[in-house]
Amino acid sequence: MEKKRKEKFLQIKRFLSNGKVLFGGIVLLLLAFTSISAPYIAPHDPNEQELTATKKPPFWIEGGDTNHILGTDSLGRDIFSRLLYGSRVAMFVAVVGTFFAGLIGVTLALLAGYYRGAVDNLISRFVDVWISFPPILLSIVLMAVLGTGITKVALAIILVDWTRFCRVIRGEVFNIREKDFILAARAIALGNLRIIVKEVFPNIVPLLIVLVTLEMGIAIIVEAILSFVGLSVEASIPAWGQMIALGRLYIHQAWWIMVFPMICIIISVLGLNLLGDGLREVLDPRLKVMGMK
Amino acid sequence: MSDPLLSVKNLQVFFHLAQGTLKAIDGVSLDVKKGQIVGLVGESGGGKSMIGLSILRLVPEGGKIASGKIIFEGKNLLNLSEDEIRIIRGSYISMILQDPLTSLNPAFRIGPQMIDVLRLHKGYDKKEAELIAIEMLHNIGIPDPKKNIRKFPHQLSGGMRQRVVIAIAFSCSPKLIIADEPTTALDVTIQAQILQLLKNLSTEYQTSVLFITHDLGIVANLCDSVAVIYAGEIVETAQTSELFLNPKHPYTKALFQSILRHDKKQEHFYSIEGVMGSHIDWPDKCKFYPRCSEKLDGCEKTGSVEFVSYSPDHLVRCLKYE
Amino acid sequence: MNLKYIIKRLLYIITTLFGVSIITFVILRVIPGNPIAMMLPPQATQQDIIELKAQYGLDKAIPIQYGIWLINVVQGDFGVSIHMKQDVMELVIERLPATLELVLAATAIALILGIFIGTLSIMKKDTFLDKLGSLMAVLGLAIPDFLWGLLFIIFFGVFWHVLPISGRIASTDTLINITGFFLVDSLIKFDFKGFYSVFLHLILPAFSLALPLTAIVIRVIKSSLLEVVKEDYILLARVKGLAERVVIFIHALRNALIPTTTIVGVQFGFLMGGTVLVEIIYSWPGLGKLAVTAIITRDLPLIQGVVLVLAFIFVIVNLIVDLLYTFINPKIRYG
Ligand SMILES: Nc1ncnc2c1ncn2[C@@H]1O[C@H](COP(=O)(O)OP(=O)(O)OP(=O)(O)O)[C@@H](O)[C@H]1O
Ligand SMILES: [Mg+2]
Repeated sequence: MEKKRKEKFLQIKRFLSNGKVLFGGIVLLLLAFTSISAPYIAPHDPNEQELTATKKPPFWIEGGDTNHILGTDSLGRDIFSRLLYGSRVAMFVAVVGTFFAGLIGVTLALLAGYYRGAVDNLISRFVDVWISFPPILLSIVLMAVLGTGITKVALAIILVDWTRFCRVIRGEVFNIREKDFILAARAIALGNLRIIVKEVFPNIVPLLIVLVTLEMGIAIIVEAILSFVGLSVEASIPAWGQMIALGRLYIHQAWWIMVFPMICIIISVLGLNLLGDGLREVLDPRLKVMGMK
Repeated sequence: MSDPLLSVKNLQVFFHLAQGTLKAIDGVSLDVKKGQIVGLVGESGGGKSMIGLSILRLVPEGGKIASGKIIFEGKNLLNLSEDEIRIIRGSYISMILQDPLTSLNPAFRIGPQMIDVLRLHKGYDKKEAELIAIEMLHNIGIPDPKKNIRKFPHQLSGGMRQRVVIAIAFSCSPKLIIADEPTTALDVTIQAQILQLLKNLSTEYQTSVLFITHDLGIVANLCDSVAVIYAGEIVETAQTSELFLNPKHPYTKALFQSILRHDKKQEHFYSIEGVMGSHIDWPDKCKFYPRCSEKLDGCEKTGSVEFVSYSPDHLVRCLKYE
Repeated sequence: MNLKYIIKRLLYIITTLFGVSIITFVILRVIPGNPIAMMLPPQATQQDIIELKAQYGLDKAIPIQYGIWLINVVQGDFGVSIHMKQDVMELVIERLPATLELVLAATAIALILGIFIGTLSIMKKDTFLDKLGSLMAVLGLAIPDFLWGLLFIIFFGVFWHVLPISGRIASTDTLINITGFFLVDSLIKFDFKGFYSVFLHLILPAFSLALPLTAIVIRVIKSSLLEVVKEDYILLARVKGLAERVVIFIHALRNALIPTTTIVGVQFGFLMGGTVLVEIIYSWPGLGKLAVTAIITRDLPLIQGVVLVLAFIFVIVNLIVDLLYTFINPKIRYG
């Protein structure tokens, strides 16, 4: 018991001693924190328009004050509060989009990689066709058809990005299936489903964790892109991409409207990417995740 | 007696690993005289290739030449600058690597891989270099060299590739060639041809050879003198005939016995009891004694064992003879 | 290159395009939301809707609609844009060169920068250069192309006006359109002033698009070089006395490029997608901008046409990459 606990402690220490994991983990925790507690920590209502105080700069620039520490936008809304609320949208699509995209992608990959033959042909061919759509265009088309709303953004992300999981995991399942313990399990005639769940799946978990962190970053970017072209959440919900699109109109007068949400996106994605990179180094230095962007 | 062409003195190569320090080469001294073929024998992992690579200052990443001297034509190679040692490589000392199948670049044709040394060290232009390369290929028995020089390595057989590698090694008429098990990967008939070729070339070009092998049979036919290496230390050196008549070190004897056993249709060359294992953080004492059939009570306790001259040219490093 | 391989590849391309067209069709028609209703203003009458449906053949069953569309497409007729009242193929061909010029420039930048930086950082391991390369590899991926575009716009539009941030050519310059590739057109006419202007306009959008791909190229080159330098033939190159620069840039790089080509092929699709945003940001009159306009105005024939053309480019590029792969890998070329 004691030993086990010590082992666990050592493992955690190993994870944290990787700077990338540490940085990425902190970013992820921060995102989780702001998205949950936005209503409690935001100094202003994100939609409250203060028409007498539009385009106020951040507090350290002349004309700004600490009431709006990061300034206000063209409608006099508090940028800091909007950023906090914006993290909710980002986290929602990142978590929901990634979870279901992963679920679909991994399930199909397990089937294709395990059964091979006709099943694999069918699934792989479908993936090939699916990735021939430029992914951003596909998500824009989907959003145009589905209409706006946060769940629809998540749905578009799921429909576009399940192929990322499917392609990478399928290759891994192919390799694992050749390993001795799977051959042994097949030899003693364990049920296929049981082998897939109990023997194959645990072996793809390290790769999957890495893919998940990378995909969360991608989901945040896709949401921002959709917001940017005006096809994401309703106008009443603050989202980073929307803020950028709005700020773009005023870059000559008030650069901060655009710059702060950009910084939020960059740091979030950077953190998630580094978390993925670091986890890969710690979990299995030989793992390669190619073809992911 | 003139100075030897190459004289390795007390060479040490260390790898600092997570588990401790691995002394891959631990105080090796070795002379190669002009025109001589010197054999370096020992089991796999003994450090034979490492000695060869150290002479060219090409120790693999992670390893470091910790101390010693490598005197070649009166100069200590370890004191040369990177540019100076590059001039030595390929033109004064060249090396035939252990695996002929992987030592040619798969992305280039044979031609450019032969020509680049000639152009670099001899200053030929492209045309001259190609003519010389074709002639080299012809000399070492590659049929239709004009055609074969345009081929990619994977289009040639293993024996042909080895000939090309040998041609590259000899192309700048070096003074010394380090041949690292040049025939292990080849089948027996081709082995004999390649060895004959190597012998002829070394006579023709007046080249000394440091011949690395684990096959004492080859040593008997080819080498003037022999050094036996075990776990990074030379344990015995002598003229070939002397060593074969009068092996002294228990490890050398064990090697001979394993050949005898091999002749009696045993599959493995090295059926010496036990394995060499790794000698990370090994204290200063004989490395062979755990496997030694003649070990004395003192072997476990004594510190480092020095060489004993058994006869003027026959040195052995064993407590038995101290 | 045998006949069987060619036939296999052609079949693959045809089935892929077939699949893409069916999926586009289905997405645009089956998923809730009536495209006709979206096309018309809210005050349109029932009669208007029926008429419009008939006009675009949308009153028929979906398989029949698809059949008709497919027969027309095979004959080169992609229909007429509802919104712009112009032939879809004409519109696409008009915009295609702008997009291709941008994407090709971005690919070239990414390859040159990525290969150079990746290789140098292997050669100068653990130096400042190596660290800089790693930083670029991380930042390039963390900042997507459209954010790079916006960053450049802030920087060059607000603070330092040295590069143009909109369009393909200065409004004071005119170009005679020959190929649609402005760099080429200006050169054909020896219009060096025009060439310079086109070149300057290309820099920011091309770099925005290129930086993420550069990061990927750096990573791939580094990881394959790390494998390659362990090979015996690299040791032999060093044994021969070749300079480290020659060993890495010639002997090792040639082998490391082989896996790089495939990755770049896959990434090209993402690049085609990336142009959508970059074109909007830089008012670049290309396909991506056209596509977004088509989607926002629910211009069904135009959406179908553009998506199919983009998918076509994607499969063709991957075919080219495959051929390139066999070309630079002698083991396949000389079997
Ligand atoms: N890169 C490395 N890192 C750590 N240790 C190494 C490395 N390369 C070689 N060694 C160690 O150096 C020792 C000598 O290896 P070397 O390749 O010289 O043996 P060898 O006698 O040539 O064997 P073989 O007959 O198999 O070629 C071995 O114990 C090996 O484990
Ligand atoms: Mg060796």
